[in-house]
Amino acid sequence: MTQGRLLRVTGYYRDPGFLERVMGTLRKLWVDVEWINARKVNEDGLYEIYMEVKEGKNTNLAILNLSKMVDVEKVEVLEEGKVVSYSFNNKGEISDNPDEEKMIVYVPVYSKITGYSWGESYSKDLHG
Amino acid sequence: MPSGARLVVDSLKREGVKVIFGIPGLTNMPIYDAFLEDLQNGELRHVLMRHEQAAVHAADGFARASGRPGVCTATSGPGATNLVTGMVTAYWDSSPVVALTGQVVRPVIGKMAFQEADTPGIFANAAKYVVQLKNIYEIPIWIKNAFYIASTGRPGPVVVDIPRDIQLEKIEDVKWPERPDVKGYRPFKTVIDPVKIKKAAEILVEAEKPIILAGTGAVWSNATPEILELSEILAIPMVSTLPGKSAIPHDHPLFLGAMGYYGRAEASMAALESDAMLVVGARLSDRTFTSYDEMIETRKKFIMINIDPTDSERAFKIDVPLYGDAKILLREIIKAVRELGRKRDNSAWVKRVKELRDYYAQFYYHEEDGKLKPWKILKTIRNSIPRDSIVTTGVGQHQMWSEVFWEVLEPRTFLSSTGMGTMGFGLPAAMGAKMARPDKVVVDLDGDGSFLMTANNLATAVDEHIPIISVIFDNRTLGLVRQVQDLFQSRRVVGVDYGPSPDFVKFAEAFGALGFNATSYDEIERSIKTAIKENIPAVIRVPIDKEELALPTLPPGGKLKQVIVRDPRKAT
Repeated sequence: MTQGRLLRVTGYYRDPGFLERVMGTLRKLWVDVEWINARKVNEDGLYEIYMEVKEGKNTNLAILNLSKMVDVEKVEVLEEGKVVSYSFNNKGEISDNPDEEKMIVYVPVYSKITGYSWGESYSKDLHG
Repeated sequence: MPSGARLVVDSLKREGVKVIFGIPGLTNMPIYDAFLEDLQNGELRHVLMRHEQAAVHAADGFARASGRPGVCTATSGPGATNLVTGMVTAYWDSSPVVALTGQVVRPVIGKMAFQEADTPGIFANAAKYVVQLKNIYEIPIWIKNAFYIASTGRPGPVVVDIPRDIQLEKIEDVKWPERPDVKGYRPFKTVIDPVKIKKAAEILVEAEKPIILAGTGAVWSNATPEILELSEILAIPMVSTLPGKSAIPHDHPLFLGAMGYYGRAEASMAALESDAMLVVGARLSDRTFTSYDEMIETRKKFIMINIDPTDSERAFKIDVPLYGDAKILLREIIKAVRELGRKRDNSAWVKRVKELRDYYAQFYYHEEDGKLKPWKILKTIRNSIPRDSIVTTGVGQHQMWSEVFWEVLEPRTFLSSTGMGTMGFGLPAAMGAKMARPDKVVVDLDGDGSFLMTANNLATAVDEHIPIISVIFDNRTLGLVRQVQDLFQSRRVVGVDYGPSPDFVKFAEAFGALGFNATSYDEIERSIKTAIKENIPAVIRVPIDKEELALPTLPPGGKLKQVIVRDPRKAT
């Protein structure tokens, strides 16, 4: 199990201000980010951010606030999960060679999703 | 071929805009050039403010008085940064304002160009939304979207930042959008859940000591008739937040006033003593509920109606959260209450509430020889202006006196910066309100410190014939700060007292306004009546003793039950 909360934020990218405002929503409530992966999904600007945020007394409120930020479609909490990390070298190969430059990729593994979107919430059990 | 600037103006007109508050500069100048003919033929009115902060406050006052978004414009750089205080003020008080900012031309954005500011970055956390346009084709849809975002869900301010070269571009075909299109945005739904509605009705019907708390959302949803109807069906006393004062006529026998930090003690005590509270359109702010623990300890049941579903999860457990438009949901509750029928006799509770009111009245209405008392000044003003007059306030002791003693008699007639507490709000907000409701008398209840923060806009009021009346509670000090230093910081009064400058009568006259020095209640009444009759801007200076306190109050960080109603300095 992971120490923090695994989130998937789905929203619409107009400019990098989208990422700035997502981070700002967390910053304002002093919620720290352990790691983040973000990518543009399609040409309509759909964007997907995976991240792990530290658990704290404001984490729930930050998730709710994110779920009603203009440009954000939904925030999903990836539950009953853990994070698997992969280490890649500069050739794109999985590597544990300490002498190589590496990029670490965190992959959330989860079995349940609780989603929040503009005042509505839902739950999905992926093994149900 | 219309220019981008022309599209801006036509987009505004399509949204029903008639008034724009602003100041031109190089980068929003094409918009001014485009609306010249609209000003000349009377389709639009531009109000040339003396500072951009005041332009937002005026647009905010316009929005709060009319219920429709207010519009302002500023140039890039300092023009845009001057908007910030006004925009966060509107944001915190959920007021729909649309600000159009000029921006430097696209090729130099981000390169520290002359009068460039990072408007999207600056407003990212100071407005509900900010968008910087990338091409001329985006103008019609994004201005439509801006109004949509500003006025739906929890209302709030939106900035549309438009580079100057886009305003100057031309296009052949304009596609006017029929509806807004904002991906990743949805106005909150009104959810009518019959089970929850019934439960809410049962709680209210079965409660021994129910109470209704009205907030800003009650004003925006025009829910006053429904609140009064529910109150009267079950004999439920009502209290409000400070901004919620604008929702409830204060001459209603079941209304106790605003509760909270500087609220009426009887309202706060009744809120504490109640066993069920229906919160209508209030976000449980720390000014209203100064201690959440204190509220939880009362073990009362909470029903909360809020447009923003996440608000019910901010503070403490809400037994029945209801999401959506207050007017619609209250109608449902009223229907359910009528079906259940009245089961309890609340007369003991109503009697208790009256006892509270009578008890605390002894602390409020004191006379003092040779001194004008705030409660009586406000009563004098109230009796001198029509019932439907609109009142704005600055921020400071006078605002707290207004919270306790100003009698709101019609909805949407009390406008104050309550969430952000922005000094200087009163005068420009009054100007905006007057532009929205020219048929109403508009009075700015202000303090000497607060008034002077935006008083340069008195020149605009005179030039533009916006006949507002500023009544200045002049104690030559930043009274609210002084009071905290005096009472809670060992009387170490520092950095708050002003000297004799300015003479407010000469100040007003220098601007071409009427100036009055009203040193008696009769003079206050006469000055107001003269100002109304003359129908030009007026400043009425009323001397207040520096030692006068804003009571009731709480110690810093205090609980409602620690309310201070007597002058503690006299007690010792």
